[in-house]
Amino acid sequence: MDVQIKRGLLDFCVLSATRYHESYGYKIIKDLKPYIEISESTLYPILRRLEGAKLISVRSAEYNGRLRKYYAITLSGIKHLEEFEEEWKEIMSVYKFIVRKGDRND
Amino acid sequence: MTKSEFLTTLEKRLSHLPKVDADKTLEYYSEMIDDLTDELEDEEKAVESLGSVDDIAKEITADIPMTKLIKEKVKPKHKLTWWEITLLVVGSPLWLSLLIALFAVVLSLYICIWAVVFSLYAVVVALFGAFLGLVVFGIFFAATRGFVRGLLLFGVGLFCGGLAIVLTYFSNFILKQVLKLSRVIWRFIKSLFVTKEKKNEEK
Repeated sequence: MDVQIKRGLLDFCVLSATRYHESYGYKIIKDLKPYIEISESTLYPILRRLEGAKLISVRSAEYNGRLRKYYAITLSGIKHLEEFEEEWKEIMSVYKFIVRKGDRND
Repeated sequence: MTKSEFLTTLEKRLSHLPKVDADKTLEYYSEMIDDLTDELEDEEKAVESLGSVDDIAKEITADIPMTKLIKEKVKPKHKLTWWEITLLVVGSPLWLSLLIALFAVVLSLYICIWAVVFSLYAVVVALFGAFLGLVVFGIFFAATRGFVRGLLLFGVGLFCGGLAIVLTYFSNFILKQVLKLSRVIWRFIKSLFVTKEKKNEEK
């Protein structure tokens, strides 16, 4: 995938990974693996950014005698994802135009 | 490399960052290594899968805004001892006034440069006013008082107009140069911090 497109999509992927249940760093990477490749060092700045923009919230909880950070989507995060869905519909109509089949003399 | 080796190396590489940011990063990687170790059942393999510490540190530094790095740079690395504080306070009439004077000189130089630009444009406006006034008055004078003197005034008016046009181009040129100069100075100031940053990384 094109680097620019991937970079744009990753933020939404991470956000979406926290949409229906809270999640933690390693689980986010595992959940995304079938769809898009993301490394540990790529995920960290994205989590920072999303947290800074208040699109996700963070809480620490104990797990196996150590602390783990759990990320959950916020209301504005959900709104952000819904906006993405709307935008994507526009992109899809552009896509249909780009890949349309037709006569050369059209 | 073990987990604790990885974390100590990373901590060293992040020493130029604000402490909060460095700590958060270390927490993140500590948790990641633990989770990876649970999965792979091998700490060294888990650390290996993260990639090189240098790359990780670079990526994080690039993500922190310039202003934050400068603030961190300006902060003293160790707490000031009592005699350093005493020296600073006792010496303040000297260094504070010198600092203010230096700042004032730099600021006034900068204002002077902009004053030149401003006055150039003021002359342009004045010349354009003279052009309008003299042309209109010249025609009026030629028609009512005396043709030759009126024509002279009209001609001087046109001359002013021409001069205004030429001076506009000249002023624009000067303005561009001043803007360029400002950018060069700003870049120079920024480069001072960047080179210091690099020196710090080599430590």
